[in-house]
Amino acid sequence: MSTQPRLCREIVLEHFGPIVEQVAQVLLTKGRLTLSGIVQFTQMPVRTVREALVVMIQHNICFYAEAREGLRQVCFYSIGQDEILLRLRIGRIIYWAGEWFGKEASTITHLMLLNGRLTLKDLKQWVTDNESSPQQKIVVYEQKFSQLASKRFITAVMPEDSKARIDRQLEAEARAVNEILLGPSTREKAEIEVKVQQQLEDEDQSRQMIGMKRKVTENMDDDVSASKRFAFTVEMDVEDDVFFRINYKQFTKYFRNEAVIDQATDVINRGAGQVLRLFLEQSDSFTGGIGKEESQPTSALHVASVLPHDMLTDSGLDSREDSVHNDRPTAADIVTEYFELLRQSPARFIKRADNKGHNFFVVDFKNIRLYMMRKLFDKLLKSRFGNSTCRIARILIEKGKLEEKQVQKMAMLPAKDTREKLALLCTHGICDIQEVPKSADRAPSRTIFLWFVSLDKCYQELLIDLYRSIANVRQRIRVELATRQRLLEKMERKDVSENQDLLSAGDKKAIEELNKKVERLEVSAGRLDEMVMVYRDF
Amino acid sequence: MSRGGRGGGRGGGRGGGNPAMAMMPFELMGDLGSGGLFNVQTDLFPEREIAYPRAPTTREKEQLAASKSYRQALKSSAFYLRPPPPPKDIERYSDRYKANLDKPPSLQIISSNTSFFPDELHSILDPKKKVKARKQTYDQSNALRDLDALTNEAENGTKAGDDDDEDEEKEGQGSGAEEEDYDDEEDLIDDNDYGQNYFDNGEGDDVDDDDEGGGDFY
Repeated sequence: MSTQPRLCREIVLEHFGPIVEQVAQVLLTKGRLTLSGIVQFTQMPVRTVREALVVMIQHNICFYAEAREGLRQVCFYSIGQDEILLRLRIGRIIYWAGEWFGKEASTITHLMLLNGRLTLKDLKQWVTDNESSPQQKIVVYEQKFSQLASKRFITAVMPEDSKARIDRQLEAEARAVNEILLGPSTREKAEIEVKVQQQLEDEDQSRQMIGMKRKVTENMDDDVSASKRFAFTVEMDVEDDVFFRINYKQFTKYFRNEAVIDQATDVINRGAGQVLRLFLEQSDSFTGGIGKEESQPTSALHVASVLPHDMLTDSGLDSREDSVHNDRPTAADIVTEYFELLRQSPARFIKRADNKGHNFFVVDFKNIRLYMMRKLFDKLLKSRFGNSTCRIARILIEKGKLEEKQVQKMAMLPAKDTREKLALLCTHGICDIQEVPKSADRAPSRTIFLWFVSLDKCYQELLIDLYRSIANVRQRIRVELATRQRLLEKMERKDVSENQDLLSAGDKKAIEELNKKVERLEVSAGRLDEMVMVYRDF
Repeated sequence: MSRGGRGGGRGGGRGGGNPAMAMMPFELMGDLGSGGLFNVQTDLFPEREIAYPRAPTTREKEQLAASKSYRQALKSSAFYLRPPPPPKDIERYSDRYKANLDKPPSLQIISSNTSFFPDELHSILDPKKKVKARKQTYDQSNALRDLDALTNEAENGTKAGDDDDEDEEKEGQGSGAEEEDYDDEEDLIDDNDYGQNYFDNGEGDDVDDDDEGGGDFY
């Protein structure tokens, strides 16, 4: 079975139960179906299928489209694989929301992910029911909610969200085509397609402001940190009745920025990471779209003005020259030097922005992404195949297409080894052969065989491998829990859940072992998901 | 892409052999069996060095805890659909200690806007709404209606009066409703039925003798 649907099934089974999993399986394998189609394939009663569809639409993994078929209006349901795969990240999202915005924010995200969609009114209701001293807490929760909404971590839900995106696109295209008299030409059709795409994207972007009432206040107080001085603080109030849901893209963007800063810290030093963080905050990268290849341009002076004071004394930079006046380097000097380091590092973190004038730089996300993907790929090759095979692959990546003899010379390996290792890489789909025939009849003895590595293809295959690994890990967790079903049922008994000592020593040890195993498996699934983020989402 | 070309292109040497095997004459290879030419490990679980993963960091542990609590909350919510439990056969001692698997909250209590869902699913969220029968929207460009109009005109002459229009509409709606029932049957009854028209079961064929002596040989 192909890897993505299999992983989707595991996730849906774990989160929503066996019934929803069956419906999801049918939709994943058969594509779009009507309600009666699903009933026919799953052999389940109609009401059950309806409930499963409601659950899936509520959690934004299923989409519907109402189409006209002859005399009838039928409703097709389709499933969004990408949305299901994003659910792997839920633990990470809840944890980091707490880290960035406080404990209340993590509760808010938890509730929102639990219900699929949430209103501020429901949140206040929950706080009243479940928290001590609700009156004060409500204020805090409301404030955090507005903060999350204004930073676009949660967005309002519109009825169009549940409609399949491709249907919206086709409708918009049909409407645009109808406006053109005499039917559109091919070129006009292509233009319409591009325009409609842009229109839909703009709608998505502007959507983020829906559901909020805006108050703009200029905040010139001294206690506001310097970085905010450049931006008006926009205070948003959230309306009570609008449904909100989590915006995965924004979280992914923050994860990407964190990963970029971590890379800078690894490659250069901690000071470089800090400077890069300030750079990103300054250039407002935390609010733009994730598809952008570059951040907004900033200059060294801007960053220097927000440099924290401890960096001046302990900047992490070493000045070897005897300075005449024995004064400490200024903030601008430190920042400029770090910018040079960042610019010249192999990852090419920042580069000069030519159009904005002298001394303006942009963070080059595209290069960083390529660097991260390549680094991960090298690591995987080394751990999987050993040093020499990794060496061969790196030679091929850097030099392009080479013959076997040249590879052997460069890799400093005996001929037999290079042949075996090249064949090994070939069977794993990492390298390929290009034949260049010397004669008209393509006799193998008279053709040149060139080995090469196509990085894009490798990355795609690696992504599929990652999906397969995550699915295997999840399946293993499921099986481990299933083999210990009786033990787990014993744990759930009322008398045992109150008093753990009723279990025998063997049982307790078995539970401990199970917990350790599951923890290790889950952690490895989390790390695999990090890698998926690098390859797919950054 | 011819992978075979790579092996064949190297000429007369024995490719893929193991290092200990020099240019062994072909006749003696039979003694080695398949261990001579093929260097592939055939064990079901070959020996492998498996690396130990790094220990989980505190961040990862906390992420795991958040994920676990989320999944537990989801399991006890209205969104986790279970098949109905099997009927109880006999009363057991452990029943009184069984964890309360109360009926999970039904989907009606989740707060959601019915405008987010298609019409057929509204009954799940709001039991007061009856299941809407699939509307048969009357298409203006309905070819059937035109056909009816044509047949009516042919029968009644070219009287395009209001009465005809009304009759056509009623007929169209009526035939639209009946159409669904007839659709299934009409698929079966077809003019191009091979079985009825062409298929010859072979029952009526005469059994020929094997000896066909009448053939001419040129």
